[in-house]
Amino acid sequence: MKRALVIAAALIATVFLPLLVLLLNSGSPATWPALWLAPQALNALSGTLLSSFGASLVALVFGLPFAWLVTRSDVAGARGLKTLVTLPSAIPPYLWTMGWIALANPRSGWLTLVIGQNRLDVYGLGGIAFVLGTSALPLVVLATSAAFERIDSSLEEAARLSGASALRTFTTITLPLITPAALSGAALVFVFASASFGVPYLLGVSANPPTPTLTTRIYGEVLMGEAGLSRAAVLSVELLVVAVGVLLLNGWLAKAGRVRLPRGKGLGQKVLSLGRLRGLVSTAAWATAITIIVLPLGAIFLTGLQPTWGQWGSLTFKHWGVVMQARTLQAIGVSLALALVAALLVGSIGLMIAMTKRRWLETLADAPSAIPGTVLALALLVTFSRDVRFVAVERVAFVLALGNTFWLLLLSYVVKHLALGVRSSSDALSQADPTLGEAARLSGAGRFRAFVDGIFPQLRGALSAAVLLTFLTCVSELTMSVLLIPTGSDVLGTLLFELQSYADPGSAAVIASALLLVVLAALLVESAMVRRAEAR
Amino acid sequence: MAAVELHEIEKSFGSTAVVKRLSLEVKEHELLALLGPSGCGKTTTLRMIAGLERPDRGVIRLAGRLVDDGKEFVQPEQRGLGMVFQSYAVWPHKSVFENVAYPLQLRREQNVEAKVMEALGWVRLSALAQRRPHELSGGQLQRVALARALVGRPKVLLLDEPLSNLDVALREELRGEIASLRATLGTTMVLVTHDQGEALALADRVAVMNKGVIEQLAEPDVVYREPGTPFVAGFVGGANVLEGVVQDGRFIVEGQSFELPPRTAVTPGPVTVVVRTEDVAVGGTGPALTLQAKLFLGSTTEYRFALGQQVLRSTGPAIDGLKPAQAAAVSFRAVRLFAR
Repeated sequence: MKRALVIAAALIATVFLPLLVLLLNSGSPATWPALWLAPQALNALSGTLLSSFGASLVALVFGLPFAWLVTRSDVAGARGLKTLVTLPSAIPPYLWTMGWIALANPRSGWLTLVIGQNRLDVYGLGGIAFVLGTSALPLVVLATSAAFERIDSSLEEAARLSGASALRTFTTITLPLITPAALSGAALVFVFASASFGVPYLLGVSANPPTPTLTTRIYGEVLMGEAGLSRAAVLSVELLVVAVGVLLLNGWLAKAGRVRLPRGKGLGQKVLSLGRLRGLVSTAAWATAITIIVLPLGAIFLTGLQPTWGQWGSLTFKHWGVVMQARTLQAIGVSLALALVAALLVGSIGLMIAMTKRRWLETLADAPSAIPGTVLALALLVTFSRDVRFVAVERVAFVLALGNTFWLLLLSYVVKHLALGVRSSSDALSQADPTLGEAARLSGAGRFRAFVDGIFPQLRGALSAAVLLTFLTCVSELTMSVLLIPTGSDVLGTLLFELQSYADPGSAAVIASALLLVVLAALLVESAMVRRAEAR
Repeated sequence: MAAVELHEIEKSFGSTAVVKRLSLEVKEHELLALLGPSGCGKTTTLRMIAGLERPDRGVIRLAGRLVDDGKEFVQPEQRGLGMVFQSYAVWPHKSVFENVAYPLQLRREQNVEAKVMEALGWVRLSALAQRRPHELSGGQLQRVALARALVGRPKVLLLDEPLSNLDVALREELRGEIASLRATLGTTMVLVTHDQGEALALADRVAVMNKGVIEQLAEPDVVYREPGTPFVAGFVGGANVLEGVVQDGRFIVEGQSFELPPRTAVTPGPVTVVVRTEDVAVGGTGPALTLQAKLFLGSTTEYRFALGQQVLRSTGPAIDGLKPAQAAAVSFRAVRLFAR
């Protein structure tokens, strides 16, 4: 109990208290409506809502057919297709943005050059929604394929025998059964999109006309210094309301529309044969997946190797020198170190929380993951920054020292991703066999030793997956980093962001390529680990 | 005209032949049971009648109408059938009423409500029409499935292990319900089951299947009393199936020599002898066998004797004083003999 209380106190001090400070800092609630209803703020709000809604739609339109194809049909290469369409989540959204800028900017994008100028424009609302939607594709694919896999074929066969055609069966039986899962996936896409910063910044700020969102407006206000901070705080409250509101709505919808898929044994799943259309459908599916996933990544690599279109003879690594520059090396080092420490902390603190087996503590630790990164970072900034001296906790010496240091960045990484460690540990613990620990106790092991020898080996798979995922997310984190990075320093995310938006897209592509290689290698390692764990 | 006609049907999954040159006719208003162990091809046969699987070869007709001959294929929804699945397959997103109304709505029928309530009346679920499936028990779900399959008055009702997910008491109750529904509606039914009691109790005729072929097709009492093959005898009657040889008019198995009952058609040489448990007499003049176990079954008692490495089972009234490890003389009252 004591340990639970200590963890809870730490969480409250580092997450919920700063949120309160942010709230206090945003002036009297009476002034909020005026600020929210100001034309600029309304513009940002509508940008956030429209782009997030559009992203959900894009993810559904692409995700549903892919999920159906890979789970229920005999599409060619179903396994590979599933791996491909679940890949985007592992790669930071701004990398997808860079890929699409290289492909489809209205003047010199490579696709633009193929199909003619001014036909494609990745900048603006449509482009933001498209890039956010495709980079969040796995959220819909994973949720709906799980639902498709739980539909017993006899449910569909019963409809056929009742007189329904195959198409009618799909629309009246299959589709309604997966609708709750699809909606919940779409809601997650919405929340992800509304909290996203890199994509709307890169594609919205320089669009014509500019397309602001809440996150980019907040960033803009923070750059203005003290005066902007309180306006940023008010917008943050608005963003928080949107994100948490959608999550609550989703939870309520899930409860109201819950469909209990039947248990009991039957024939299980029959794969539907696409028949004569198999070749056509498979080709279309693969072509689509390659276009929205492989092409943008390929564009990043090619931009890094050869900055101008059409000169295939001049592919060269000479631009790769940028990787060896001191500034780049320092950013890489800082990112690797921060991500490594954050991932290990997420794993160990998550395990500690799960081991207390207290639901309220798990909920408390889960909550920060629902807070948009921009809001969380701003709350920490306002609360712990030395520049903002009106903060109540000013007297506490070590708190003061947090401002403008990497510690604050590390703190934000850990609390934001803590849910990952908690959930995977608590799932793994509930599946672990306690008798292995008990057997160790009876063999003479102490409590700690029994845990290490009996229980921990059973958690290792889930924990290492959580640690790896946290590492991958943090090593390229941007949204919180741009707000919390100490002056004059860089992490990979902020360096890339700066190079891409102001200075040197070519160098940005080189560093992005290096980052992509690291991410893809890590994914290979993970899938090998999973396969080994499954083989055991 | 036969309600269902299968002509030389063959079906393989990969390299495994599941149904081998199977021909079968189901008469109108008949309940025919396909009985056999799992993997014998009975469910596949039913699914081919439904149009949920395509045979590799052969012809299927429903009431004279060609529905599948490898080229012509009538889709399942156009065959005018009803089907009840082992897994109930009651749609979880529809209420009981909506489940049963679905076939009628597809056919744009009039008086849907009255017809649905009538069908729910058949299975005694009228009071639960507005319930959602997750609020129902397994037995109630299977009744919904039955009402849904029958509401459109199909020519043939296909039942795929409809009772095997239910516990014993419910199974007997629903078994009675299927029998009385059949009496009221006169629907032709094909029942797939691995439970011989279910098949014998419900069916007009039983087709006993093994490894993709029909071993015997006959009325239940015939299948039980005069099994056509050792497999049928073992599977349906739970009889002792013994492999031995006939020598000098006696049956030799595991080194023991049994007298064959009078009027047994004797062929010398290797044979399979089928003895039902109630035809194994304890006492009399046979060889002495050691009693392994005694199982009290209620109306009868089962005695298990060691016969070499095999077990010989006998059922009948309890015998005073006979305890395990004791020996007793065992003889056969009646046997069926199959040359090997």
